[in-house]
Amino acid sequence: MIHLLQIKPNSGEPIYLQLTDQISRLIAGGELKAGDELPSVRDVAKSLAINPMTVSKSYQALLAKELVIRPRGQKMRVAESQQTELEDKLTMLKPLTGELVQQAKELKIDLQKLQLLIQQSWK
Amino acid sequence: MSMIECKNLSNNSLKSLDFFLEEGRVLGLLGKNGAGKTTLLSVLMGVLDKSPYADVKVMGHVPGCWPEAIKNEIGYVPQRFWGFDAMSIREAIKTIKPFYENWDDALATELINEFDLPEHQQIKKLSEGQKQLTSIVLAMSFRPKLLVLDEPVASLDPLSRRVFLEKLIENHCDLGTSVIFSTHITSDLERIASDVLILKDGTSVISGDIESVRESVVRMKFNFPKHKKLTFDGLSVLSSSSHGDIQQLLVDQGGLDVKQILTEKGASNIHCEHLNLDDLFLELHS
Repeated sequence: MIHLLQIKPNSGEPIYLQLTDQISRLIAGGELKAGDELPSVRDVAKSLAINPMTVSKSYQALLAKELVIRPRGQKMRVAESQQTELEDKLTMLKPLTGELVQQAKELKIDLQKLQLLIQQSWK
Repeated sequence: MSMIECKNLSNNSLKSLDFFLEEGRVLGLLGKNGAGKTTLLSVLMGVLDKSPYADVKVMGHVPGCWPEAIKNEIGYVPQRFWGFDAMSIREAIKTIKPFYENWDDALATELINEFDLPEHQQIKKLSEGQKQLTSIVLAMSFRPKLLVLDEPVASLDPLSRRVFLEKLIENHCDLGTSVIFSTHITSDLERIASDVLILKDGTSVISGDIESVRESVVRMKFNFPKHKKLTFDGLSVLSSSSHGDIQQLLVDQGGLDVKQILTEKGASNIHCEHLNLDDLFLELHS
């Protein structure tokens, strides 16, 4: 799954949050399934060229959110999930839609036109 | 244990500089050209002098006064690699290897291959980037506990730079190597550093754990009547500017409710923004 992770070091959003959000999305979308092993901190740190403490911090956050579990002496695994509610999935998209709407407004594009654009890029 | 303890360091280009590097941390050093980065690293390596009042210890000793065993646990990549001109990379390795107990041939070979270095070519015929990579191979292969890197990626292409960062992180994960490195590339620093030290005019303007710095240092934009005088007492203001009624401050909040304090002083319409290191750096020098 490491190849699915991407970070933007200069985006202004802390890297550990970027990682936490991405892995949360992979779990919510079913890309990562209950019981799947998470790669080791070392492997993630090395392949993304980021500080291992950042990866640990993100894994801690996932543990706190109960999205993953760490059975004694084993690797971190995706937790048996209660299906992620639609509500939660929508919350994940909110920052993006917020920005999209703001830019649309700056460009004086109305809601109808924006919906049309989303429809077109959906295909 | 502190790998580096630096108190009240002054000399021709540094002014009462204080900072620490704890074991297992990666410290990124930022600053304009001439801010004192190379001077600082040279002092730490015992190459440059400091004032007698400075209290500087690197791995528990005054720089330059290390017992042999400790000296061999410090890897240094200077800004410009020199020496070994007539030798090939392999010959250079053969020459320095006997000095280091922990020299790791497998690691040296792995780095040479990953960096795509021509190991049998004379060092003087290598490009600047290849010389820099050679210097990195020589400094990392004896598996030091502390790596001191002066702009290690300055002459590297994006691909070599990325491979270098990966290798550095791998080494850091396996051995817990502590690192201090200077750079102008803030995105590299955001990636691999746990701590940051920003130098301006020879002294530290921002230093600490990178997450805390990003959390604590913010840009505040607000309205303040032009004819009134705004005082910053009690606030740690790093830079300020104003255009008419609009004021902008770079503030280290340091646990204070700065928004509240500014409101009490008569500011309104306050916006608070967290910055990435790039913006932070620009803001500090604006």
